[in-house]
Amino acid sequence: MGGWLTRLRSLFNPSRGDRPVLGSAAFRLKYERFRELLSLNDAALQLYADLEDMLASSEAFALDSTLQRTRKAALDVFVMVKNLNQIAGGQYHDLYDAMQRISGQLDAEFLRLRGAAQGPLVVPLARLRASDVPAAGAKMANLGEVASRCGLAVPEGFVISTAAFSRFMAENELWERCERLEGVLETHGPEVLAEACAEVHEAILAAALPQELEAAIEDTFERTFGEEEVLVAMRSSAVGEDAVAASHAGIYYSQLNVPRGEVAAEYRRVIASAFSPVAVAYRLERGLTAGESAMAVGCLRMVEPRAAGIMFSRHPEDLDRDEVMIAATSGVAAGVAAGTEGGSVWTGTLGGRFEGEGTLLSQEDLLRLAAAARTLEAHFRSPQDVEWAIDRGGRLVILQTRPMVPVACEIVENSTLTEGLPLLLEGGAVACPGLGGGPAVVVAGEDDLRGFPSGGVLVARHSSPKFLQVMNRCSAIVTEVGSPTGHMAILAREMGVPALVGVAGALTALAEGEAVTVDARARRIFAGLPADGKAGRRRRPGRADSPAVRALRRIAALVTPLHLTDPAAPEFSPAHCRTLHDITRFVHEKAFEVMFHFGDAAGEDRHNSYRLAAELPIEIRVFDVGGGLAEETYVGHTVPVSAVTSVPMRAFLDGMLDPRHAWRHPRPVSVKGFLSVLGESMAGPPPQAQKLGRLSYAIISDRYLNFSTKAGYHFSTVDSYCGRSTNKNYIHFRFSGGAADAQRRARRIVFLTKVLEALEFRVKAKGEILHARLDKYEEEIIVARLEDLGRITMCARQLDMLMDSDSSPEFFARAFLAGELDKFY
Amino acid sequence: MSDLRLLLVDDEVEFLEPTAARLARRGVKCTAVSSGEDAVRELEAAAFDCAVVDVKMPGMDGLELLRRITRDFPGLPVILLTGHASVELGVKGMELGAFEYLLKPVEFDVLLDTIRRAAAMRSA
Repeated sequence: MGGWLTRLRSLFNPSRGDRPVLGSAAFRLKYERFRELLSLNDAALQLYADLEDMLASSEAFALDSTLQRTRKAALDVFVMVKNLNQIAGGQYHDLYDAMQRISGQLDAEFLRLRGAAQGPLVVPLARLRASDVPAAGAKMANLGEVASRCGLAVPEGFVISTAAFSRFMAENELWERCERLEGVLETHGPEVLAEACAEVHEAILAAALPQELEAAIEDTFERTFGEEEVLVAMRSSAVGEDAVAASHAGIYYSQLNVPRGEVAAEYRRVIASAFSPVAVAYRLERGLTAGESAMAVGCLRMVEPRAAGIMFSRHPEDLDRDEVMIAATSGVAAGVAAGTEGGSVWTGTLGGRFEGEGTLLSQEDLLRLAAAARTLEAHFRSPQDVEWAIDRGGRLVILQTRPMVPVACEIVENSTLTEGLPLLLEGGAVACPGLGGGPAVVVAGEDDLRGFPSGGVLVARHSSPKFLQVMNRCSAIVTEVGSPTGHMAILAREMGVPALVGVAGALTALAEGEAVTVDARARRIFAGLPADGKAGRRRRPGRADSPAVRALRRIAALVTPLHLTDPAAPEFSPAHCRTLHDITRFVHEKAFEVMFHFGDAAGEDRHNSYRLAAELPIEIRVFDVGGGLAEETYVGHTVPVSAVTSVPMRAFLDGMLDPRHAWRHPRPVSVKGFLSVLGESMAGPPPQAQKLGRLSYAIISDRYLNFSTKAGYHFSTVDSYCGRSTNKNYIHFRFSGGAADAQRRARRIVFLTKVLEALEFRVKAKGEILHARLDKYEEEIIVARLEDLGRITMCARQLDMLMDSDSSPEFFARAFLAGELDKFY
Repeated sequence: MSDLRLLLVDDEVEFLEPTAARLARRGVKCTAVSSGEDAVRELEAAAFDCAVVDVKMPGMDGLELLRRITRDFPGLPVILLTGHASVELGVKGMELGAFEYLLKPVEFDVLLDTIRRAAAMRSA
């Protein structure tokens, strides 16, 4: 044993002049994996919160950068699982199965979004139907439908499919660069996007067409148009193009009059237009995925038009008006479509006359066009925006049809509801925006959740995922401590309950039973309810059901919901983990359990520790896993208290060394108490006590403390992290064992429960074992509570002897809280 | 004390050679090979304290090599390295008994620290 440690020390005792590494490598490794786990936990929770926010808000987001973050999160959660298993000796191998299951489902979703299309590279237009959008893009699929099902003429031609696009992008390794563009815009703004797009554009134009694709295009061209010297129009046809909510009008590139030899070059240009700055911005704004930029390209015979233009099957200002609007120009209609040319405009009804300017179109032409527009409307079951041409032979040809874009309704948010109500409190962080009011219901413990009234405003010191049980009855939640990235906040967003966390003074300002209104978005709490009685929970307005939102919802379903809320429940197991959040929660909980017993191993290894030279009745050995002791060399493996730089250890020591302790002069005890202790002592201390001997162990780093002690006949463990990030801070305390009789032991637990609850710990006591936790408090509070625990640890040495009546716990709890430590000695 | 003996396995020569040279400068006696098959031959010929293995290699890949090591050379800690981070690979590697799973590009000091720890755990 000593051998490897000696070797290890020399390994860590480098010649490069670093400070000597204190403590043993095993402790350091375990601690660092734990610390990594904690910071990954934070990052994961942040992502879960962000995903929920994206789904809750109507703001645009870059799906692809979100997917990348989600992929990264899955890896992070895997590392958490790995670290937990490494610190717990492989106890949680089942978690790997859960991890693999969820990650497999996520991968399937990612693949689906990437839209790597399969199928023929080139398809004749005549073979396409509306259902062929994934292969041919919306524009060409619709045109195929028009030709085959609506009895209207379309140009001859073929489509270079999305499968061809996928192949082209993959073979030239372009896809990775392209799918990041939305993220570039979101993160770095339009200027950087323009540069990125220019690079991508250049790369696409320089890329070679896969040989098979080039051959397929030439072959189909030949079969469609024969030897004839034709000119074609190359038209974009992206998968997400022409949808109701996302018309893409004019976003992508189309080129007219393309000769046979230029088809491949123009094909690249059309593809490149899918990644122009405007196309990227549009997709981001409209919530489209990069999968929907999968671009098919139509290759259609040019029509020699007498007249051409655009028509709407309904009046664009009012879709309910029974009017068709037709715009036309002589020659090709590109200018009308682009808006650079007005052309002539007519409006009229199917049965009546068309009013308008010019003589380009006869009434007969107009009626024929209007009839075609209505045929398309009837077929596609929505008002249509149609591009058309009448050729020199008088034949009407449909070039494109897509749904008209309805006028967006403006959603008005009513912020006047709280006008006139007296302001009670202001501040905190928004966990879930919204407005809700009702009687304040103070929840101090889980028991208070039972019988929680419908419409109540839940007020608590701490946020807790257990509130989920009553969220469907809450009109709002207010907590004094908590973070918008915490479990409860995420659940509140999921459930749509307006919630504010971190509201200082909420418990004082909000009286039980009093009606209050919470405006979470404004971070304000008012007395009373709005006069109009609209005090109930106000759901957020519905958001656009865009493809990106739908995709995100599918992804988020595997990531953010939390099913594992109660660590005591039998369902709190790897087998019941259904989301990354579940795994995160499980790992987090179990990591603490493991670290709690961190000190157990310390008893086995005295060679890598320092003896703490402190004026204390117990001997403490210190293991430094990083930054817990000042950087000096200590003679004879003894360190002074002044060398302790660990923030939590220092606080704990300050409590133990509190001058009010008069531990040097134990007071005479009542004979009964003394005999009771003596009697138990003669039976011998429990086996752990023998193992630990008289030593206490502290494993420390700059911000971490794991302290195991045997004080008297009690065993206690303090495990704490104390840093600047409130969310990471915690104290876990466990107390057990003892030499006195059962009655005294029970009283001792009552004493500790009273004291610790008064100090805001959450306490669970069972038999003679007590667990207390304090999570997510500010550094100053953690420090103060560690000092308190230091004091308790010293006072506890006397407890068995002091607990000689049923009133003792109450008496000594008051004494302790009043700082009268002398009463314990 | 003698140098730590490391077997470094990666088909990417641009990574293999400079890494081996840097490790050697930090007191790690490094045997560098570029395939799983060569790695097995080295393992049969000499004793090592730790192996660092790239996951993606032609022929015998890193996971297969890990399988062979845990079967034929139990107790030798294996650190997996991968440039293609995936949960599936990670899970497989850890379930097969890898000591650690690191993502490329890996910081040199992190790699060195992990190697030292792996070797120390072996000695324990």
